[in-house]
Amino acid sequence: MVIWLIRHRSLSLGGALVGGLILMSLLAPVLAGGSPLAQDLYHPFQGVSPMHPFGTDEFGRDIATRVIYGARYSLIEAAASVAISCSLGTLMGLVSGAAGGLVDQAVMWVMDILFAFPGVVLALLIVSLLGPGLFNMLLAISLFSVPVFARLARNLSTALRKAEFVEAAVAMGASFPRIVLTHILPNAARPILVQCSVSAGSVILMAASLSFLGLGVQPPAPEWGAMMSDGRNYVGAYVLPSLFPGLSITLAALGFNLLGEGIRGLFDRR
Amino acid sequence: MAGYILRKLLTLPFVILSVSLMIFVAVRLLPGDPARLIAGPEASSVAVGQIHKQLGLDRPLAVQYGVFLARAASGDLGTSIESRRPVTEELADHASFTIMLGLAAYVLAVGIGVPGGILAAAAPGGRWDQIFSGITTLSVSVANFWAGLMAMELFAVQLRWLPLMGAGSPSHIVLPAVTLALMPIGLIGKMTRASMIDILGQDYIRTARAKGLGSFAIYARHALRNALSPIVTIIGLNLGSVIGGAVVTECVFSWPGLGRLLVDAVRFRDYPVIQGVALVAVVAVVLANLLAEVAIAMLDPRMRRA
Amino acid sequence: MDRRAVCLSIVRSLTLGAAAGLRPERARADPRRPPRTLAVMQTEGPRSMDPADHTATLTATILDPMYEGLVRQTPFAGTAPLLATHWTASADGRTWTFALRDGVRFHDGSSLNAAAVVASFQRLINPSAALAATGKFIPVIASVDAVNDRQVQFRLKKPYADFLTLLGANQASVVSPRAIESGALSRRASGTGPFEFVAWRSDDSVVQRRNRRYWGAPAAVETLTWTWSSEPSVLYMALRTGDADIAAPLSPVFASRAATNPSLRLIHQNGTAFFWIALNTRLAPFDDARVRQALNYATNRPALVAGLLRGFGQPATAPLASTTPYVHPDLDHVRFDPVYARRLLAQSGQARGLRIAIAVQEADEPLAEALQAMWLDVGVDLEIRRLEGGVYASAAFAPASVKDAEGLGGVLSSWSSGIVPDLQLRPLFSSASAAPAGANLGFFRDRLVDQLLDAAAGAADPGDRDRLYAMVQRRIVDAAPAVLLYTRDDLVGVRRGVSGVSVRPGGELIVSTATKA
Repeated sequence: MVIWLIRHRSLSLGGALVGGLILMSLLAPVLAGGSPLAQDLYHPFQGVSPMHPFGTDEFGRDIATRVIYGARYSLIEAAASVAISCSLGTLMGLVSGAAGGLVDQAVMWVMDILFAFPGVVLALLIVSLLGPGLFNMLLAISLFSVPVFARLARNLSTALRKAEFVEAAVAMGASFPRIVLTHILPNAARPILVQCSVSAGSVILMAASLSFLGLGVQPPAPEWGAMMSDGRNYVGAYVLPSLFPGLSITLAALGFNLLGEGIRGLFDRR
Repeated sequence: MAGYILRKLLTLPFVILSVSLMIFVAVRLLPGDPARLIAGPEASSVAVGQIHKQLGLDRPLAVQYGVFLARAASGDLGTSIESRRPVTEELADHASFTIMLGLAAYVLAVGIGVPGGILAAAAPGGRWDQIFSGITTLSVSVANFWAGLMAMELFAVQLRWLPLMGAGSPSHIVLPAVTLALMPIGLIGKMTRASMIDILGQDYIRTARAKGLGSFAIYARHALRNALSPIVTIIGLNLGSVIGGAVVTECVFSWPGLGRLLVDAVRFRDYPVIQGVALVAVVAVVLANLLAEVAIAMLDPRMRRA
Repeated sequence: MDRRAVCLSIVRSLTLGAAAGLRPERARADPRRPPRTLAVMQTEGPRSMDPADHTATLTATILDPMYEGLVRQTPFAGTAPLLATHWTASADGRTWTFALRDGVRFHDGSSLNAAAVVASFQRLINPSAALAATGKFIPVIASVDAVNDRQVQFRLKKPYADFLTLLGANQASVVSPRAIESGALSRRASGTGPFEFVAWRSDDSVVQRRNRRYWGAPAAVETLTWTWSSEPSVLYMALRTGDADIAAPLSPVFASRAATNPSLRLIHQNGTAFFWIALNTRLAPFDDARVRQALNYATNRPALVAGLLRGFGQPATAPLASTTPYVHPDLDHVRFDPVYARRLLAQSGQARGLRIAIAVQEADEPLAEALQAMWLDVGVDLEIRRLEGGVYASAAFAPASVKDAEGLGGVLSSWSSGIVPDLQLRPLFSSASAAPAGANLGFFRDRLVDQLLDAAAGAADPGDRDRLYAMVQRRIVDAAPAVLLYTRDDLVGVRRGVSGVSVRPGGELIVSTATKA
């Protein structure tokens, strides 16, 4: 068992990090022991101490407590966004690739347009329109991630469509939905699963960037990107408020990326 | 071959047109009144109304879009509400900085990612491969604005090795370029390694080895040529994320490029500038994708028939 | 192929390249900074090079070395001559005549004469000129004419006691008529000041060079370079690395660091930047004075000053800053008492909790967040609507119908009025100043307050004024149209060796007199 874990390092490390994220989210009240919103204006920017393992922020709030509660936001961001964009994008991509012809062209054209927008620019426009906030930000990020899945699914679908076993199924008279579901989807599932994990990583980074620019979660919510946005004002005097949230973002994204690679390694077995 | 390129070129104006419409509508829907902003809160409503007229904001949306297109076709993208300079001038001023930064980041990314990936692929599972995989995974995961801020604190303030911000001298570009390059280094590195491993395992490589060709010839002539296709893809497709990364990086380092221009423009509801920057970004990405696809088609005969 | 050899050569070339680029900055002379250059960094770039086309303090600071007005305000000696050598006012206070100084030239070479002054002011009172500052001058000045080549006469619409203060403002600077005609004034400054315009690199810097033909004492510095960054930490870091010799306004967190840093000096003086939340008195339940009072009692001002301002400020004790004449601190009614706040809320039927949405500018967001936690303790849920610059201005100055439609209960704002109580109280609390006409953002309407303000402004006897202002302040505290917060000190960070920098009440930085060791 242990040997297996060591051999599949990415998988185990990634799994541990993601598992840690999930645990932190579920057990936040137990692990933290205080409210992430409790302020103490007479003791801002405290250093590391037994009472404040990560110090305090500009309002005297305990950073460690906020980092722990912040895991919830990152988890929701990753899960919701990936769920939406994966299902939407994969569906469109698979159908498009399997159908070919005009349908394929049309769908890919829409995807091209969406792809043409650099992520942050698109999200900036959407969030400026709808207003900041967790929900609107998730919308923007999901929208931005759909083309990735669509294109991946479509390429897989196109490649598989030409594969022998699919041609055989067509020759035998299998219906279109049946082909997509029973032949193309299972073979496409693994790369898509990998992409889900990798997307989760980039969603976390994108959400953090948006909050950093002031367009994501609103105060006083202890979301890691928003905490960094606050903390950045004080880098040069106090590093702790930016250090730990940023580190958490990196570790979370790292976890998902490693997990994705681990899964890919599991299926590649080269 | 020519037909393929031609077909691709024909779709270009449609994509750009639809994108410009999207941008135009989106920008018009932004809340806030740019005329009031120019005039300031103390100005009379008469003054505000006049500015409104000057900017042409009192005409119906469709007319505004038509005017915008007509002017854009002749190279006039309007005037910045905040700086009163033509948008094209603002874009030109800032674009050169973003291009410089992007180029520097790309050079770093390709310069580190490609050789690193090749070496890793040469001995998969070996020590360098493990180290390299670790580095690339880390660089893809790190929050670039966080890394930038930490680097700024360490190298600019504590160690005083590098300048702090702005674009005054050649060494000003180091921190922003490295920060921006983090993500592409990882992506390009991984893709290079993956496609090289792929190629090296192919039959024709084994044939070449069996024929007695030296390692260098194998790598250069056969492997790299075929691996280039996915590498070029990822470089082209990456432009979008590099531009996005540039927005945040430019804000962190006060680098006077298009990203900072865009963020300031959004703050000031400077419609013409927002439109201009978004348009430029999108056109750049579309062109990059087009070039990438053409390059792939030229390199990979299999795709040409698709 | 020898893999190790390839590896080694890659590493070698990378290291050489890196070493070439990373030489320590100190060893090289920076060609961009010739000796005797003063670098100033602010938090915002200039809006325009035309003094009449902006209302921003941070733009005024940059324009100040290049432009001069007829008079200037000194911190303790009142009005001093500048481009005007002396002046007279008619008995009714509506006609003012100014004699111009001889031998003054604009940067472009043209001479200062009455025609130039008239041209400068004509555009300030011309409603169709669409300049940002006209709103300040049109209500006051009826006409301006040249009596002869060296004398200018102003006719005012009605007597205005603070006319000289108005003329000392950056917006009232005299600009070159040639520059007005050329239409390039917004991009290229042309005034009479000790520094002249060299370049404005949009988004990056403004460069000014010593005016060798200046009529007065020559500046002690050869070049002024202005840069800006919206990041407070960047301002402080630039000060530390020497990229900036002067940095202002310094955020309080960094000001406390600068004070203890041996290579830096902190200039810190009591400011007049007064922070308050204008409550929407037309929107229920904020039309009930008890609710508004409760919000005041729920606010712990000393904690705000300790935590957010790091002690660089004064908690509000009255609707006026503590440095303003005729201020009457009222510690009985302007104090922190959450228990009483709860009681007031219960009395007015809000015992089950209250929601209020407040428009806040980005820079003031921490203040709102601190209040959020405080008010939660008395059952008030504060929703922060963070708005960016221009959108904030429209929202803040929107009329009652718009604010009610958006459910905006309050606007967090700051006001820097200097040392004239009328200029602080009237724009914020008189009914004539209700938004969008003025800064009475909550539409407060109280006839007694209006009458008292008029009486106090016209009273000649200081004893009378004191009594009247005491009554006004008491009345305002009772009616509680606003949540009074604090005054923030002016904070400027300066490298040791730089002297001659001062701050006008109101926050405007004076740099033209600075010297660098």
